[in-house]
Amino acid sequence: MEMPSLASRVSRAEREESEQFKQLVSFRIGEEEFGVDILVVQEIIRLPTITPLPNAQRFILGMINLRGKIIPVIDLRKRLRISGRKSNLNDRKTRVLIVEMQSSVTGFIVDSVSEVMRIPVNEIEPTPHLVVSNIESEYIKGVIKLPNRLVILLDFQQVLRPQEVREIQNAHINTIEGELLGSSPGIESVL
Amino acid sequence: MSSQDFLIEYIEEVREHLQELEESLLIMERDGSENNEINRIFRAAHSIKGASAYMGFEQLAGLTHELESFMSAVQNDEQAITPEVITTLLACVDAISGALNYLQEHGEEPQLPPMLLENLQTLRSSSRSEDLPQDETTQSNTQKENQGNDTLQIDFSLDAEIPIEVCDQREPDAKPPVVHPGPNEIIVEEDQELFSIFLSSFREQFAKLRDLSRNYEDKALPDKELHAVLDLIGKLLSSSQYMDYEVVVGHLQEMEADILRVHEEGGESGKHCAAVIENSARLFEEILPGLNLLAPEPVSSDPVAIHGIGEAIQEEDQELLHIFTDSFQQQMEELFRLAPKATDISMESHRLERARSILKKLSSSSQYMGYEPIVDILTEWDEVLEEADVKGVLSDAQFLEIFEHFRLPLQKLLPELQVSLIETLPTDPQQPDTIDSEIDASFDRLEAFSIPASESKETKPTNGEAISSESEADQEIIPSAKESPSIEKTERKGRTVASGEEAQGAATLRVDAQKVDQLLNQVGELVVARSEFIQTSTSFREILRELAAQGKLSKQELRRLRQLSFRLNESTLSLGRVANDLQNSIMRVRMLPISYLFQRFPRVVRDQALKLGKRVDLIVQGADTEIDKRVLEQMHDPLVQFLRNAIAHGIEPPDERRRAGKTEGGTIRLAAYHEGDYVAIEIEDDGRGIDTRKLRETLLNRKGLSAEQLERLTDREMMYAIFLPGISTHGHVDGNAGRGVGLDVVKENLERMSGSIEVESQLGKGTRFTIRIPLTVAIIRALMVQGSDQSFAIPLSSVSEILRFEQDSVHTIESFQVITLRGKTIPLVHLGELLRISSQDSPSSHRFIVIVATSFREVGLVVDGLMGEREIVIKSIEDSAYDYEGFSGATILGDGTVSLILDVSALLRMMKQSQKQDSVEIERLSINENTMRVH
Repeated sequence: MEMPSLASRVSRAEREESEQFKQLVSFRIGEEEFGVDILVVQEIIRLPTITPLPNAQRFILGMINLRGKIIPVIDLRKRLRISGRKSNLNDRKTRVLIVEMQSSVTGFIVDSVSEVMRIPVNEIEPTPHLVVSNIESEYIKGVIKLPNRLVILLDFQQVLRPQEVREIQNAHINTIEGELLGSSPGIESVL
Repeated sequence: MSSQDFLIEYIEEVREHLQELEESLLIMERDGSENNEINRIFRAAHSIKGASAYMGFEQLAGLTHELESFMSAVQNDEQAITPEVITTLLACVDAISGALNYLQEHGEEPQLPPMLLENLQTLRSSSRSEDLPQDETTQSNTQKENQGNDTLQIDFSLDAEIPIEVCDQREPDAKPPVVHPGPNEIIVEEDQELFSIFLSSFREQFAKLRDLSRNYEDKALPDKELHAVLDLIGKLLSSSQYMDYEVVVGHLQEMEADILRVHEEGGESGKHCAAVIENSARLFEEILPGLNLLAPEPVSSDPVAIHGIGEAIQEEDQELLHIFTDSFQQQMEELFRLAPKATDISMESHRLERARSILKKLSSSSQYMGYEPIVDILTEWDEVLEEADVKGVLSDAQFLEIFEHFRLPLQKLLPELQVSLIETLPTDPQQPDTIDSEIDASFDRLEAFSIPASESKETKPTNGEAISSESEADQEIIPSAKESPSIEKTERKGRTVASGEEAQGAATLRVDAQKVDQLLNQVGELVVARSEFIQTSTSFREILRELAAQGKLSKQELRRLRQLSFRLNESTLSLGRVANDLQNSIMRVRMLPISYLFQRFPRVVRDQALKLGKRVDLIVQGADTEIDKRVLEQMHDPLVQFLRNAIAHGIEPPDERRRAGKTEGGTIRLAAYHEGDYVAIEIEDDGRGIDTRKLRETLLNRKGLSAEQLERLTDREMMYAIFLPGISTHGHVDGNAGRGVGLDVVKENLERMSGSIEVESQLGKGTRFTIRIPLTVAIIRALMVQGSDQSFAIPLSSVSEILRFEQDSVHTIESFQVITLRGKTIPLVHLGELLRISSQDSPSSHRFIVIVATSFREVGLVVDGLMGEREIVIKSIEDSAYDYEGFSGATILGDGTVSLILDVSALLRMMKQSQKQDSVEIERLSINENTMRVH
């Protein structure tokens, strides 16, 4: 997956979107094949050195240096709670999708990146009610049925959604604050 | 420039004028109508009017026109200044300010409330309006036209200010006193700054003159050169005339006549010219003390003396020696250029520092070559300079003397060294410009921020073109005598205020702050790249050494590699230097005087005091203290909070003050000063002070603390309770302050910026808050530590001490590890445990205790290793989706990996949480230390 081809396709993708086509980057995690709108993928890189982020949620693997920018890297498998083997960070096929959304840049680790697909918008079917492959339906924008395979179109806005993440954290914080009720984090350091 | 650009510039400009207007109005309110302030207001209003009319904003122009007319009535004593007037005028300022905001957003002029105009007109109804400024603009225009071509530069740079300054003429303009000397009397000038500017430019012009004439010592002076000579004399003449130095003028005229005479006589006129000039130089030195025209030129261009004296360095590898000598030579030249003229002016510390860093560099290269004798000489040289630095007095002349002193022995050791520096000095037009010297020149230009421009000029080749372009530039400093008097006054006035350096940089450039930030980011990258480079260069050298030790390489191969290594070493040093200079320069660009912030406060104080029916004076000190722009912006809200607080809680109402035997009006002192890498800001009021007894009650009632717990607290510790959320000693809540919201937030914000707060208070006397914030937030010094096998950065600002971890000195109090440091008990936390990363059992000999401190509490952080101090560029994490608690950011290390910056305050909070289950013990532990915990 080379950068230039991606970049050149992006502009075409923009034109084609109005023609009811969508360009997707398809990638694999375990047995599943996923797709993501090419417009949110800034680039695809090999796994760089990751600096672990202590005390973070378990799906945040750490920080990487992307040409001077520091961005977090998330293990998409853990994020989506896909069961099965752990992500193998030493696999030569492992890639990081750099996703740019709502002014934040995040890296997602996937097992491999397969291709760039051009799909007519009307072929994207809304999420079936049944849960696909144990993945919570809120992360899924739709599915694309191709001969012999099924591509799950991921909604990265949901995957990244800060509120949900906050909820997890708040749940944690609330219990702490409950115990500290009437006090504040400041007082100990104040007095 | 697009109309959008114009608009932005217009808005910026008007904002500045508004600020000035507001300031003056407030001063006037306090001190009554003073001519100075009236003039300032008048000028500001006039400038806004002019700019608005130019942009076609009729309403703004109309309003300011009215304002201006109003002020001219005040000026003519037809209108008294009453509080009502001030309020109306301030309302106008607010209206214009609001209009600007609207303009910025919508790009068009809003409708101004007609009430303002009416108010102004009613106030002024009795006065008759005069339209002075119109006349003046035209007047100054004609003045401009009268000026000759050669004053074009001044004309341009002063264009915008001419109308302003002309207004000033009405004021009796105090001319700097000048003593008119008799023949051959020594000139005494009272205005030393002006005099030294005059002298240095005189010196410069004269040096050019001498150089010109010297080049033609044995032939006739060509007409073109003669013209240049006369031109220079003309300049000298005009500047002397400007200074009213009749004696000098007389001599210059004589000199000019002499030169013309010898030229007409023909023959080797160049020689005669030179003689005439030399003679005059001696004369001028007599008349103008401190001129030193003759002394310098510290050049021994005697080529005979250079060769083969003393035991020269022996080097088998001639090529390497050549490289070494080459680079040595360049450095020496640079060193020499640091003091191009032997003047009595003492060297600024940065030049001296530069000199010393060059010496160190030379010494390290020499060390690399193994030339001990050279290293010794250089070290001694450096020591001499250091001594001079400590004493704080070293003139350029002395510097050159020292230079000469050490140059000779060096030359003996290195016969190849071409110390006939004159050849490479740019004063010789024949010398072709080498690439290297161009690079050096560009270094110097980088430093032009701080080095007086005359020096950076020295590095430029002065061929014919350069002279003419410089002569234009010189006009900025030395105005010609042909100028109209108003310009002269402007110049003179400007000069008495501004030093030469400022006069040079009078033209400011407005740059989008974002662009500067971007630049800073890129420099950050460069700094990272530099350390990468240094690492590479070091490992290259190590590999080379290894290979050499193995003896697998042939001698020749080894030599080539050694040369390469040497060059790499040199260029790495250069790169480091540029990166450092660049970084410093950009940091300096971002530095703004804190007055940008302080100037907004008089209004805040006035409004707040008025609202509360109190009388408050604001005294501002140290407004020129410089601070990073980003810090400056972030300091606004906290400071406003403190000021409001001081007015609402500190300063008592007038009657209460009277009863307490104080003056009715309270005073708030706002002071800023540098303290190492920090800026300290003090907010001090002479109000009622913090009532700790009341605080105790509040804490007892509202926070549910036991009386016993409270008793343990000293009054001083008690005071910090005002930073607790929801705490107020104020009886009731109102819109101003007293809700108890604020100081806790302020404190947190300051700590996030690595700042701290101290509070001192005396009941009935007043309160003083001292805020300390780092000068800059972009690049900090940090301590790199090891936790488990990961490296982390701790801002050095929060590290108070580092101790070796010794198991024996660690006590366990109820399952908590503590150490005792000078009688204080400090709890220990293991970084690995804190971060919940697997603690690798590092040998305890590598372990250290880093004492980290927030403003009020210390904790010993046990780390698995220290990796030293370094400068890091703080990067924000490019992601807003997640919180990164415990880390204030990250940085990129020399090898490109990411390292996280520990947020010490958050860290301590986290520690509390992680030890939650044992909090009872902690509490008891804390109580022992006169601290407390609340449940």
